[in-house]
Amino acid sequence: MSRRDGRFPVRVRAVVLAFLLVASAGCLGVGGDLGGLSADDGTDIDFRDRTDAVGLDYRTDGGGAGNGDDGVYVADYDRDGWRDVLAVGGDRPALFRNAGGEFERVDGFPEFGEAVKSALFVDYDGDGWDDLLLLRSGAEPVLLDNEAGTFERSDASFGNLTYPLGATAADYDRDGDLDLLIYQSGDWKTGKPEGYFGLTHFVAEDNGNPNVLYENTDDGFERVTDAGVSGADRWSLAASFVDLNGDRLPDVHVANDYNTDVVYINEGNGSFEERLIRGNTSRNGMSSEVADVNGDGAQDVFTTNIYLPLDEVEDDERHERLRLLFGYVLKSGRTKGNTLMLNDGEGTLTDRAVTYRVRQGGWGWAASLADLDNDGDRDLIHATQNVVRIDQDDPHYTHPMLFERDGETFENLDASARNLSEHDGRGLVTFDYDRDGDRDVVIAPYDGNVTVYENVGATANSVAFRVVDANGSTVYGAEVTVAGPGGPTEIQQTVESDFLSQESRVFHLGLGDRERTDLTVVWPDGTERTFEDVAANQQLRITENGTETVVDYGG
Amino acid sequence: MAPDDSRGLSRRALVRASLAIGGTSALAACQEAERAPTEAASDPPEYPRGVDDPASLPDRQHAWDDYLVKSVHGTDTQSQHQLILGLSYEGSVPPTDAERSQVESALRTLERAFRWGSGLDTSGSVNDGLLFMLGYAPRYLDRVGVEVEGLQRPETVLSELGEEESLAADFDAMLILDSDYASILLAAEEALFGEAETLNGVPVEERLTGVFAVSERRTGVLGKGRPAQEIDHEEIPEDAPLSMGFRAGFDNSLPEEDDATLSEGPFAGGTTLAVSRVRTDLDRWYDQPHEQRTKEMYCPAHDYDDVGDVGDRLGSHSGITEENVDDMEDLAEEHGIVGHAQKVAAARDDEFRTRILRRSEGVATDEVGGSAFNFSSVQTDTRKFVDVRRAMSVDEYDLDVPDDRHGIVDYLGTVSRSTFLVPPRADRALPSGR
Repeated sequence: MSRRDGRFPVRVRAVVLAFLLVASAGCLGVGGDLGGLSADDGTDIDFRDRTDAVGLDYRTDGGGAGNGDDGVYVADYDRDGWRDVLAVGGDRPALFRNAGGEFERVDGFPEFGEAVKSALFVDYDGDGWDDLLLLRSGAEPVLLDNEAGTFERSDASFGNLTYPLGATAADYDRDGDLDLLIYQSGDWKTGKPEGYFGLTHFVAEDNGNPNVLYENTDDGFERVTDAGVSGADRWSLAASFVDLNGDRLPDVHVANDYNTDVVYINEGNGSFEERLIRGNTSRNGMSSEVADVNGDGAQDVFTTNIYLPLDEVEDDERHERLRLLFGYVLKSGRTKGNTLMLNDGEGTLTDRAVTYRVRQGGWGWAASLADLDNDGDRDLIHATQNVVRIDQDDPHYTHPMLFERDGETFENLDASARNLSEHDGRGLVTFDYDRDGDRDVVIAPYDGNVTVYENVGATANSVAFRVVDANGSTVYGAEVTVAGPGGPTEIQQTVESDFLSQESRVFHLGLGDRERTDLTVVWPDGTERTFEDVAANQQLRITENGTETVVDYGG
Repeated sequence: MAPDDSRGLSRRALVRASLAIGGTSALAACQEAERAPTEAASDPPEYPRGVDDPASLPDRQHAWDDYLVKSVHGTDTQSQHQLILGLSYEGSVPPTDAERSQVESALRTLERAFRWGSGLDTSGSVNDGLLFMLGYAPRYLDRVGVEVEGLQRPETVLSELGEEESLAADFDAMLILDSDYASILLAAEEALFGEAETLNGVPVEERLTGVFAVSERRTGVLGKGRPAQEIDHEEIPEDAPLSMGFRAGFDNSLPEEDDATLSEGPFAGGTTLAVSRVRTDLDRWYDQPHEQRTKEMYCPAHDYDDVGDVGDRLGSHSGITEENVDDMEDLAEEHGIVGHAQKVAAARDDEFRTRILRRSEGVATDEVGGSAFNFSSVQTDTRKFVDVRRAMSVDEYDLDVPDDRHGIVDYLGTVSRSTFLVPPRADRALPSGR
């Protein structure tokens, strides 16, 4: 049954009804505005560079030709309620423990050198402690078992991989544990994607490496070769396990460099149906960011891409220089800017980036659809590769791209005016490192210092939560509907991995000036519960038995 | 001239205009068309400024690798424009302190005005700074009593290569300037030898005029698309970075900068520089099918799937292996071809490392009525350059392969060679043994 036909609309109606009842009780403003805040209400998007103050001292070194390997990954690995950061891309990965809003580099973190390309925090054994998968080029992945806050190398075997660029996780076969999909790219040091040489949108015979599905057997991991996700050698840059068609089974979106993005629909029998995303959306996707953008309850997909307005260059020499420099990019026909693919509820994705005004984003990489001003809707920020200042007086595209949700569309903001600096960015995450109820930003550049930006603009209320099982392990696939100021927002819990990034699994949404909200949770097995009148400005742990306050930052 | 008015004025047209007309006024006109960085009113400056403190610059003049942008494959991307100035010395023998001070001050102006290359930001896409090096020829060094063991006279180099000694350039010194922006080079030249009073907003206090005069001026370009744009030859592929149609300068064909640096002696930290001007017979070269050119350029074992149209399928590695060199005779017999890169690799050291480091290489844009390129390399001893160049020669091999299928050497003709000592930065101003 599709979401449009059944379950979700009923639940939305229930949430909306509850929402309207609250509104009629006088908690909201007048004039038909359902509590959403405008800039006049004081909440805003604004940041300050706090890198030095918080002590997250990590420098990437420009290694990893082409895409780079410069990433940031978030987890509360020691379960103290403060989210920690793993940084990759320098001499060696470094784990930074968040000690009350300041970061301390963890001594004795295992060394695996520059071969580490990427990482994924994942509680593979379900004990409630996030374990850590490290992916290395030309070597076997390493799984570090989290023993109550201390990482020790497990004996899990994965076999050698050639160029793994990231991983996502979900219980794809519904046997009660987390499986892994490791996606691979190719090495720009030794060659280029086949799509580099072709103007056609889809390259059937690509020359990258296969994506590999691993089933968690509870006694290790085994490669699954017949699931239908490993048939092509692509240059994959990001992937997400997410239920796209409302059947409660995790499907997969894979963003492929110089080739068509692919959706794999989980058929529920251990295999997937491959759907190439053709037409407008057949681009070289460079991220896989999932969220319900249009409020229909289905998870949409945002992918970054390349948008270079070279025609704006008036100076002849610069124009010619840039034309030659980027000619290979421009002529490929794949670089028309970001893609926002709306999901019809059945897993069919259709690009609406122009309608939503998010097409123009420079040379984008990791992305985050997150409520940056706590006004109840999701804004958008993504890293950009600082290739060149096309407009030297107003460089814009060399800064992180910052889009504020504005009604039915987004507004592209001047990031420099919001105190975000130019970066040659790759990895990017938004999370609340200082536990003040808003989303801060951390960016990993290709060759430079990882930078921490504190959110100083969001003054409105918010709520943060994580649906967990009895052990405290995140329940992936759980769907939480938040009664926000602009209507219900559905959040599907995923591992939140993206291009060289992994955001926190503590999910967050602004509430505007609402001081309470309702949270409706649907577990993957269909169990549904609504928690009413949940107070704002706290971080909750949600189980089927109820909610527990982890952090109360409202007082 | 307003920017809109200059649209369509190619780099070639600009450079040729300044060459053909000559003199300060023509150069200034060209720079004006490009919004020249000599304009004092430029605020902020048109290009990133350099530094006042020379201590923050590398000790070596030839420290370029860390200041060039990286390609997507991680290789150093040579700058797109070169200006090569052959100089005659007009100063005192031995040079006076005042002359040394003048030279140093003039060069410091360049370093204050423009960033040293990419300023270590190698992850960008454009070198909007300036790299340069000043070298001294044996002609000058003889006069001031300096001997450099690893520096051969250009006549000696030519003789050892079986070429006419008359092709030795009669320079006393050589200044190579390198940037992704031609206007930076033109402005630097105008500051050193012309009348510009500011350079990228920085006052010009001293020039080289009076100590050096420009006796020959060469300009060159390289980079994807440049040769097809600059040379009137329809067979040059649109995307080719060099006139013969293929990529060069792979990681495995270039040594580390340290390996090209003098480690001892009075000029430790410096290097030797070999500069050549070579004419290319593109008509005959492009008469051959692409597959044959591919094999002649690289190796008979290479084919289209490895190389692509212009070498674009190759990553950071040329694909040349020790086996390719060891199997040269068998491959020659099988294909009837010997590869250029294959032959040059035969001159590598015992660890299969290249012994010369190319520093600028570009299609000559000052050549009228033909095609030529400028080649320069740095190495600890010019004999290494001779060894590499000799390895290109047909006569070095006892192979039954016709000359026109024996690498690319049959399509090249030497126009000029010259050699120089490039002192470390601290000693770059008129070294003297007297």
